[in-house]
Amino acid sequence: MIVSTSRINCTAKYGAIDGVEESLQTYVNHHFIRSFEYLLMATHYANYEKNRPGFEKLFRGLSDDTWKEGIELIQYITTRGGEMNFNLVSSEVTAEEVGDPNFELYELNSIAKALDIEKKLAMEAHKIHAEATRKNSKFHDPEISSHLEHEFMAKQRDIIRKLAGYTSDLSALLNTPDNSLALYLFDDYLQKQ
Amino acid sequence: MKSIAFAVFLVCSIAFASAELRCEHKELDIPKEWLDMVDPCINKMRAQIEEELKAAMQYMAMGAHFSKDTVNRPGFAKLFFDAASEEREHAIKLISYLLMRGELTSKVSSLIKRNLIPKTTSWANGVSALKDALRLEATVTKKIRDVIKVCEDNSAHYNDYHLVDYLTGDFLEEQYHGQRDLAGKVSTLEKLMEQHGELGEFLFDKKLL
Repeated sequence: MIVSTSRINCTAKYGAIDGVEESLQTYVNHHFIRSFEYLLMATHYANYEKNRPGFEKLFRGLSDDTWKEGIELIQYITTRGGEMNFNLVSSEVTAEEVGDPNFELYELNSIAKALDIEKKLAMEAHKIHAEATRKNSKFHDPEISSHLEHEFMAKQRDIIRKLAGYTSDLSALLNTPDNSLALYLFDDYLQKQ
Repeated sequence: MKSIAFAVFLVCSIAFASAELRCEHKELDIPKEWLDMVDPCINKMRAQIEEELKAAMQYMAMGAHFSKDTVNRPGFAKLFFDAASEEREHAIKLISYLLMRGELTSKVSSLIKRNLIPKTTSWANGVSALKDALRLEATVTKKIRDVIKVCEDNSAHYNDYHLVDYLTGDFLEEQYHGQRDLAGKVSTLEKLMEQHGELGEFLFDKKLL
């Protein structure tokens, strides 16, 4: 018997990957954009005038993480039978380009910026998760929601908590008589993390 | 989220008012005599950083293509994803070098364009992707040579010996070894496929894992 492969669905696609594929592709591109932004923030702290190796390490770490997660997300999309599209970026993220964004920030502002970025990434994961949990066969896909929960949510929770803690510490430390010394010590602390 | 940025702004503006909590620190007086890189060379280096990242994203697209279930070449995908991260490392090495020389104290925000979208995103087969990779490396090599040329002799008549040595000994070294490796892979794969076509690519892919 001749089996015509064209009549059988031989792809890896099942469930609702089609329903969230574009959201996932956009999410990948956002990871790479953030990775480059964190790299710029790390670069700023590594110049001889700023000279804060602890801050550099923090942002470099965030840049490495978002880069790695971007690659893993591409691998995930293709595991589910999808493909990557590098052109998709959300209108919110595109809108950030207006007025030449600045990544050369003071210490407290830079951590607040990172916290902001991480919260945006976390909320985006929530949004995709919500799409994949809709009780509608076009969207319902427990495998995708579970993947997001395991690979992203817990990690994002921890980063957000860590950065929020840093902003609390820094605001308190900067409110002391010698904030230059406070920043030096805080940078030293970051370096050892 | 905006509220955080606003809160920081608020904290900082209170700081200026109360002069207690300060986000800024005083102007520094550091001798500038040691800063000896010249603009034409610096600008070339800055541009090269983005070139390396562009190459990284092009490799990323190759990795994505070969990861597809309908293509299913995990060995190729791994090769290209690794190459993407390697190109990113090159960009970071160039940044580190400029920082070491006292550069990148300003205009850091415009160093990397935001979204470096890869030009090609699908390939007919493994050989064509490897050939594209080899061509890509050749253009990167050419661009590094251009940086060397400008840093050696420029309108400012300043030969940046150390940078030229670093690019020649470190970057070009890696480029030439990498190119030889890719050319060898193209050769082996093409020979494998001459008689055995798909089977050749299948076997070669598993070798890359």
